[in-house]
Amino acid sequence: MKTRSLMKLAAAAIIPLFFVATPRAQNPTAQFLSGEMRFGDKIVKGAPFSAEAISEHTQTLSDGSRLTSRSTARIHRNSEGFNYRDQEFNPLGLLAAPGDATSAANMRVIFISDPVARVYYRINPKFRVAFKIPFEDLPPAPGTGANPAAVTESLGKKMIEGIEAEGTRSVITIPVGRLGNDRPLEIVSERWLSPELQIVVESKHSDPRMGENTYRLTNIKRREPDASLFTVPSGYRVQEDRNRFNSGGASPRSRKPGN
Amino acid sequence: MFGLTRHLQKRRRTVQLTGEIIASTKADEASVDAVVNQPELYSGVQARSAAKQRSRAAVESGQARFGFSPFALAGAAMIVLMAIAATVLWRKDRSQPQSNSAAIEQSQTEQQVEQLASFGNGSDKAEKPRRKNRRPAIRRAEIVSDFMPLTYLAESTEVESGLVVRVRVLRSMLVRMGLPINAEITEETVLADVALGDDGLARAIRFVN
Repeated sequence: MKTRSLMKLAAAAIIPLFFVATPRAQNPTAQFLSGEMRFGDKIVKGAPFSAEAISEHTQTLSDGSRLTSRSTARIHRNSEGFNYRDQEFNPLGLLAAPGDATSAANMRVIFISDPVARVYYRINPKFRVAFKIPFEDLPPAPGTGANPAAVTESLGKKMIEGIEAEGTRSVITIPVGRLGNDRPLEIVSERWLSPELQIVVESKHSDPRMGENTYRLTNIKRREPDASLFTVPSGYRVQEDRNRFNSGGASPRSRKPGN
Repeated sequence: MFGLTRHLQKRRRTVQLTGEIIASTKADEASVDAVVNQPELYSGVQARSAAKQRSRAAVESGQARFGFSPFALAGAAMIVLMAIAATVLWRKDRSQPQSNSAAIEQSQTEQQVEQLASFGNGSDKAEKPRRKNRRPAIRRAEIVSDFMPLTYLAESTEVESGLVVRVRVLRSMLVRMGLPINAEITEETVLADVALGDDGLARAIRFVN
């Protein structure tokens, strides 16, 4: 009886150890931690709208298989230039684990910009916290480095979702040998910009090294959004969050909201 | 003569006291008998005895059912707790990102919130209101590199607005993106800020120490 009890005791101790000590088989390439801050937003007054933004990233591997990821956002702007963006990350394009469309974490962050008070709110709905950041503390838009010369052409105008947009197409050619490439690589970008709303309505970016990225606005509604969208919801804790982006990343082309 | 009289008196007194003691003893025995003969006393003793028997039976049946004595169970529980603690420490040491679903779950925990909150403090800690007394010292610890472009963009066609996200990324992923990373330690992770255009395109990356 005593021996049997001891054996059971040993089993009870060892079995949990076996489960917890087994290394995880998955080894994803990236783990999303947080959405930090926006950059490059403009203050546009007198052009309110609401829309849904959809971005998709597709990459075809050498064996012919395709990796696809999709992110969405709900955006609103009022006549005073307040912006609201409810963004979901899933996944982060290139940072997705190969072959696994769910590799980056599903995360949701809401950004509200208040051009009157000149502050941004970064809201974490899960934890009901709003971080208040002055405009002057926002990060500069990161530069894209010294690019090879781009060939740009106009694509004219067209209506997208009831909005008139002007198209531009650019082609950047990476010459042979620059990246060890045995033939020229062409990076093609298209952008359809609404002059009236001052927003990109549709875009496409194709890079043979990274795949294709598409973006489009859908369900565009030209009306004043609900004013409550531009305030921190009640019950949320507001906390000052300053000086987080003051080091590094400066770019000659950097721009802050309102500038 | 006088001595004899005194002796007799003493003896008489002794006899008298003895009689009184015997009388009192008899009275006590009677009262004890009265108490013992009460029915409540018997039922009380019986109840106590039954309770004792029940507790003994419970201990014996527990042993029979589980094969453990209470001491053995306590020992097993202690070992399991130690195993859990060891696992927590072991996982903390590992700096690799978690599996996808685990990453989602982890990012939703309060612990992750604590980690996210201390962005700008040199550790990969997550988003939550920070404590004031820790803030200044921690913030000074973070060093970030400049943003490095991940793709070529023409000014005429780029989507100018976007957001910065913080990620923990495997070095092997950075190698895949064409960044000059030591390929021998690709299994290690680094903390980085990625600038994403509103079109979802990863434009640039910077590293956080």
